[in-house]
Amino acid sequence: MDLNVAKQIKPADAGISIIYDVVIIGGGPAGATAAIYTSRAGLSTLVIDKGLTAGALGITGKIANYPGVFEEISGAELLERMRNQARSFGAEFISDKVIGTDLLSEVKTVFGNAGNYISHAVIIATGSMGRGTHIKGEEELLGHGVSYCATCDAAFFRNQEVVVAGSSDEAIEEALFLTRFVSRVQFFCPTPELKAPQHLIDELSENPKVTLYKGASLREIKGQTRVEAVRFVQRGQPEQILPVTGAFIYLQGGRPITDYLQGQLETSPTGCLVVDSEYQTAIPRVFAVGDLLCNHIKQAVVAAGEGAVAGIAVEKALRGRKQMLVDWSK
Amino acid sequence: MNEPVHVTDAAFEKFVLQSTLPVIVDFWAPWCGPCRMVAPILDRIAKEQDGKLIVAKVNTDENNQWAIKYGVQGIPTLFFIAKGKVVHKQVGALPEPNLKDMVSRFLESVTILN
Repeated sequence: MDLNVAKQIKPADAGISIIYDVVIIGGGPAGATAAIYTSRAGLSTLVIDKGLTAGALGITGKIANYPGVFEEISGAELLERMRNQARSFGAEFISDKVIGTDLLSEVKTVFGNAGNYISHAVIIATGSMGRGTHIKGEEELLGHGVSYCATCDAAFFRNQEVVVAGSSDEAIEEALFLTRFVSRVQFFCPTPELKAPQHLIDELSENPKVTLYKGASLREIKGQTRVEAVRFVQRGQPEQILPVTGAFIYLQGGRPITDYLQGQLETSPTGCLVVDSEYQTAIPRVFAVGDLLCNHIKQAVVAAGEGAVAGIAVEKALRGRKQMLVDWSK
Repeated sequence: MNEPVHVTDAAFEKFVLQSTLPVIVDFWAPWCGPCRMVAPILDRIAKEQDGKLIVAKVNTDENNQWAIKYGVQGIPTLFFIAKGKVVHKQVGALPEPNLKDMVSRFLESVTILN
């Protein structure tokens, strides 16, 4: 049969390389602290994170109540210190967005936009800045102009005008990626200022293909069969409609981010994850820490403490001990 | 065919639209994370449903003609096609149980049509 068969998928396309002892999803205070403990215990550790300002600590202006840090520093700076500490013990950090997981198999797989990551244990620490509600038109037009992945879908919008909604470094990076393909990015930042490292803000502001709308909140994505326009309001101005053919959404909210778990773990009606006293979920060697837990106090020091407990518990689970060993001496 | 077949634009009509078996077409690209997630699931479906359906994969980087015709604006997009007609469309990756459920319903609907 003449199928004119195209080339096969190469193993490299699957993005699989090595098996880590532990993959940590989320690099906030919980994930970064867990990484300090696992990497210091000699476990090969990979932290997957969307960016420094993707989470609650990274966008906090000043931290004044973190024990041992007397001077007032920004949340992002405190986080960078934690990450550097983990790096100093050998932990690797990668910037990627996790889109799915296989936690039930013996060897766990975490699927990211940039590659697949495999490990013996997983710590989930993605915080609670997920969105609870959709914008009008968003669900109906998903795949018809609405997208959450510029790297996946940018090529379909060559020489077209699109909107990017968000304020984090993830939103900016995706917008900058889009500028390689589209004719114009209308960037809707819902807050008065962008919440990202200055070099990214500068790069976005200076890009000739980007128009930045500060304090712009997206109200509706309009279109019959595909995206035709967006309705939005900018602070102090009347509502406007802007014609675009694509809408890339990176907005944040206040719900636990667990969508990539795809129902593999039990969540409460409010969307938070259920764990035991060592932060292990119902699946062995899968742990969850930080803001996405039920009854959790949303403080960086609490998240860090939970990360430490889970980090020690992972080491115990992988090395087959029954009790946690606390390392006092090293 | 117990594994997915990679189809070019030129072969699409003959292999997908004129197929006697129902076909699942996966529009994908190598750099797309969600596509990589759905790929092993489609491999298993092709194996499990051997003789009942065909899984066809179209790399949109190299073959974009049919993706454009079908108005694909996000990948992965799966088209469930029987006798040349699109019966169902799925945009984005799905967990394995949900996708397999979708395949079962597709095969049931095709049987009813016959």
